[in-house]
Amino acid sequence: MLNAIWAVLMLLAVFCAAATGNLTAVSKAAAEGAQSAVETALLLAGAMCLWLGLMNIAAHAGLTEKLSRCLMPLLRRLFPEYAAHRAVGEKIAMNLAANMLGMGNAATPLGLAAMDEMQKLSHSDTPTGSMVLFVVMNTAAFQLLPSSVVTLRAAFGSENPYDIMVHIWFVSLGSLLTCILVCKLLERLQRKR
Amino acid sequence: MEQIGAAVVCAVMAVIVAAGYLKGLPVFDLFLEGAAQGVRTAVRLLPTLIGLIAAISMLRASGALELVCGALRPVTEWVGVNPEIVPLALLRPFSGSGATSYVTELYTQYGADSETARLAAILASSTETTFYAAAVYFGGRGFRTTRYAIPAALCGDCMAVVLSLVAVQLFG
Repeated sequence: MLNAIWAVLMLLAVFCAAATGNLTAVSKAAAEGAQSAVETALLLAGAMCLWLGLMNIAAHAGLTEKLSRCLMPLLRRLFPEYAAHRAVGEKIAMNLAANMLGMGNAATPLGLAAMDEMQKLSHSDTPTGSMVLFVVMNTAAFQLLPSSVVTLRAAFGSENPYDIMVHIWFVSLGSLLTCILVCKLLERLQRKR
Repeated sequence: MEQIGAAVVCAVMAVIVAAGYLKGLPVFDLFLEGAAQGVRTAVRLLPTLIGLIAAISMLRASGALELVCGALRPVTEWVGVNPEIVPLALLRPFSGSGATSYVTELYTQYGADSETARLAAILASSTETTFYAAAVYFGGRGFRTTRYAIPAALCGDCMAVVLSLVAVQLFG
């Protein structure tokens, strides 16, 4: 995916620069961009380490499991087929809990395990409605602590880097609900056909 | 409104440390273990960021983005946003680090507290890298189709764009 995007970005920049006579500016921007990337990565590293450290404590203290247990009743309604299969339901809940806590590294293996379990039960090369819903929920991002955006805003001189958290909760929750609604709607339409 | 975010961050930190400590866990050792993982992630991310931020800086300097944004100006003016948000909305579903790179460019250009930068920050952190997540979860599992997964996920992404605009109006 990134191969195509990157090639298009680079070539578009060079061709456009040649056409508009901006070649000096573009060659300078390449060097400056690379330099500012190192700065950005360093800025991000601090907060990332802080939160991954805290989240490691949270995982060992069983907080992920607690959150996933809180999510269970909700998930039973979203994934009714797996209400009876505890192992699947738990993995789904753990994946979503890890995503909410911003533990992407832990969420992906849990999510893949949940997909494998669901596939084992369905015996099919067509994903079930629940599997599609699960993947689509993973393409939305409801995060309690959007820590990297806060760090970057602080680093770039924001007065109150936290003042967009409520906005982010509102938008990401709305987007997640839209994903769920559209999935349920499309599933029903396909079943009718 | 401004205090809520900061309060939640502090509360979460306190809850995590307290829960770990009361359970008798070696909290600082666990912290170091997790933080070390963060260093590895940051190092792995660095080459990606260098490649993408360099490419996006070049694209801005070349004038290509201005051409695209200029063409979109009538639409964005009607909505009342900076046209430079549009490339971000298009980039976000494909590449998370690309979107981060683009947002930092907007911070530099307009300042982190400007209306454009805030909208960009909200939009970029309210959605996930749709195509990447779909590839990770459906890839290598031998499925013939992804059924309605991509359209549904993109509906969510479009809703995020609309809601970001609403949120800035609503909460300031």
